Amino acid sequence: MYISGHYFFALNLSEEQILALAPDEASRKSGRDLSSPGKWVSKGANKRAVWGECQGSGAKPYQTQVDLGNLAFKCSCPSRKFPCKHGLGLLLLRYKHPQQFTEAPAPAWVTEWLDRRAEKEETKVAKKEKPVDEEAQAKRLQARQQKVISGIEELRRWIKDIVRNGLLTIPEKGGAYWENMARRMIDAQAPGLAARVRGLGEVDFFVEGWQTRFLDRLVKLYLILQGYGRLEELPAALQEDLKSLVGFPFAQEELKAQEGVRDDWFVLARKTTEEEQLTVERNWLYGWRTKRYALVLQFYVRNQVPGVSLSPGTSMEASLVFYPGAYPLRALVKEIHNTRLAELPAGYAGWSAVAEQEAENAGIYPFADEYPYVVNGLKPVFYNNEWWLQDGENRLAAVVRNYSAIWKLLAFSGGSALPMSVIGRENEYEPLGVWYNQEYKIL
Amino acid sequence: MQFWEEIINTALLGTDKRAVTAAQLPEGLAGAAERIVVGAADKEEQFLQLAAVAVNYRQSGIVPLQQEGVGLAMAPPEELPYCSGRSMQVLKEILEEGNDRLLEFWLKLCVKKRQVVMPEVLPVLLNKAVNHGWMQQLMVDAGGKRREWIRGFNVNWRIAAELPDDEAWQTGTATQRTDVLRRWRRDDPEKARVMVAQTWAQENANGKVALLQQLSGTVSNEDVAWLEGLLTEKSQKVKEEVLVLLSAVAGSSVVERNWETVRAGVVLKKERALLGMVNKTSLLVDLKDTILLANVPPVYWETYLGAEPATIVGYFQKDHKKLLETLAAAIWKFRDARWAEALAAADDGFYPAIAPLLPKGKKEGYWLREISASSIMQLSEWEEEWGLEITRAVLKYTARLPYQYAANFYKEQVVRMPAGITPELEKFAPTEPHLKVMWDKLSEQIKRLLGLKEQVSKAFN
Repeated sequence: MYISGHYFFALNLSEEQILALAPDEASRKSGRDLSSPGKWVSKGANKRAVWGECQGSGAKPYQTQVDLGNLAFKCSCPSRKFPCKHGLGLLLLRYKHPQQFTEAPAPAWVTEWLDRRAEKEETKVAKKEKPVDEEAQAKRLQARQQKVISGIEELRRWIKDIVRNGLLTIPEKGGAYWENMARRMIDAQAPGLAARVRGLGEVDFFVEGWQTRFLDRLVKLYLILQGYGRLEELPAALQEDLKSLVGFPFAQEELKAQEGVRDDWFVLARKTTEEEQLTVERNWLYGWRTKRYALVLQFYVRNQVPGVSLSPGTSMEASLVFYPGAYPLRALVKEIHNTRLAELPAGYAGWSAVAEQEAENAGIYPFADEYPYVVNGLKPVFYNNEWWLQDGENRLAAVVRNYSAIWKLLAFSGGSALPMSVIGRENEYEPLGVWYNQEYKIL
Repeated sequence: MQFWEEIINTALLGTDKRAVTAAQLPEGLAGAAERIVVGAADKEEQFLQLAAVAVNYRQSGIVPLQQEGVGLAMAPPEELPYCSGRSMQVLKEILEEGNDRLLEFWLKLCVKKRQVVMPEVLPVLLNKAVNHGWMQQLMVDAGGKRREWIRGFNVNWRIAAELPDDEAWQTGTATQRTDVLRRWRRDDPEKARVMVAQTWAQENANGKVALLQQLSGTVSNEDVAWLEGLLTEKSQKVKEEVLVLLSAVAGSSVVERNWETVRAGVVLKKERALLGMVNKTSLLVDLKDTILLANVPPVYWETYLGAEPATIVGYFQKDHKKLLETLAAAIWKFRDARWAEALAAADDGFYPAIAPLLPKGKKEGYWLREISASSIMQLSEWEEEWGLEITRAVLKYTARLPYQYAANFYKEQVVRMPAGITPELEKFAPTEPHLKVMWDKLSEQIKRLLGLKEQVSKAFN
């Protein structure tokens, strides 16, 4: 389904996925309460929308409607939460009792809203189609380049100061030390570098081995600065990587115009973090036929709904467009064709195969912090007071420190090896999910 | 990785104090290192470039650690079937809801149906069971073989109920010991007494009180000799606890002393009235403290007054109606179900103390005589589900008192409410607008909880 640049397969959303849309716990509960048919005075659905009238505390029922194309909610209730409990309840009702939603023409209050939304989309497209002032755009780009280059020089001096003085005093630096330089990079319009500077301050200095973790990050940051300074000498794909790492965005519309990689994409895991009032969603995908991995990043402010709803453990036949790069991993979903049942993947045979892949990756793209892998048979084992993941050849890779789902993993395993998705680098990995009794379970 | 240690040591001290040379890097990096050394602008650049090459070299050359003899024993196969996917879905909802009573309801049904929970929820349930004693035996029964296996990796998950009773009694915590004693008392009262007597000398005063409290309501004539021997204890609080226990056993010296006093103050006076045409019987009570009546077994009155319980209740009704409350307390204290039935039949008053002693068929009807705060408190401890009639009466009462009976009350009582009450909830709404608003919210919550309860029952059907 593709409407107005957003994709959604709302009709196939699971209960868990619908509840994941709730803004808070109270809304989840209330949404569940409203998912029984008795709560709804009227209800209906067609390909574009689901709607219903819910009897609330007022005399007049609340009119609730959900646009299934570009997932959006509207309700006449006074709640400021988004989506409100009625919207969630309606989708849950649709999930639990689909037979009660026979296709019907939408009432006027639904069609009017849908038409207004369509008009707005058209206006947006029209705005986009306005001619671009290329000269002004080039000037802006040049000015930004200048700022970035100055920023890079400042960052280089800062890194060299650290190296000159040594890392022994680094754990004592306060948050301001990292934040100040990160802000300087934001001022220099290099947000990618700012994020990497913040990443230096996020190393856990209380954990053994912090020196290696810190130096790895510092050296990679330096490598980006070096690479960007010699951009013209590098292959085109690596040039794109470096631009992206510095923080130059790639026009999504241009990407969408490209041909996608069509496959059955399986969602291995989703990690959500809050960064400066912005929700950052990292979705790791695996293509069954191409055996490719993809990272779909989505950014949205609170109470907004992501453009694509990807739920771990589900599989969809979709076309993904990869951002250009030497080892393309980041992608966007161009089009979803179908949802499919998940099968068992053909993953890596064991840690040796993963190590070989790591070496190959490092030769092409030396900046990565982590890669996802599906490994065919791994089991958690306890060795030297640490948890490890053991493959069929008794090779071990450590489980990341403070891994909270170790007991869940152990409960699934019961001492047996399971196909497992992991993310990490070198000899330390975080398990993401396992295939247990042919079913993918998120950890 | 010697070369990497050199790099780290240099990084720690700083390039002002130390440098990495090309010779310290692996042979494979010699060419790159030489070019860096020649071309770098300064020692910091040189170090950073050498380190960059070394990081990539290290990451590309990883050889996963191969270690023979590392592994875990396999979990034994389950002997009972797993519960259904539907049951698991409801269980997850209950855990999200955070309702312990519904969780208990779910686990009990799982055990009753001889099923076990799926492995994925074991860690959550076992963590919860650490702090919730009521869950522990249920987890032993519903956790299956996988639980037995996984608890070996986490000392916190060792459940007291799994310790052999004798071991728990000898070495367990205070709670573990009282649990064992309660179990013994239920299954083998004599063994319980013998075990307490064996360790009695080693217990401190608080420990002795705690153990004695476990015997409450189960003391019989067989315990009297041992308990009376404890009246010489030094600790006053231990002696008081012993007296409490003895005062509930017919035949004990304490009860006999009480009876002597009571008997001396209670006389059945028979006389003729209306010129000798009718017999008049009066119960004369002359006691300084009538509360003593609560400390004598009701059955003693039958011999003393030569009458059946119903007749004796009649005497009290006629001459000392207020003392029926005290008589009811005695009936409960000596757990006399026969007298409980007699009092319930002969008097139309409501004495909550005797209600638990009534047979199941008569219990509900009796509670309906009076729904009050104290009767609701007792109803809240019922093991079984309330009937529809009693539930209606309770909700009619509680709906008007939303501050006293707030969300937590219904959260606890939902397992006692029958699902059939759901369509009637609106009927209990008070007429006052502010109370109605509160009831509307509460009834929504009750509906949701009852819905979950119903789902549990259906999932295990």
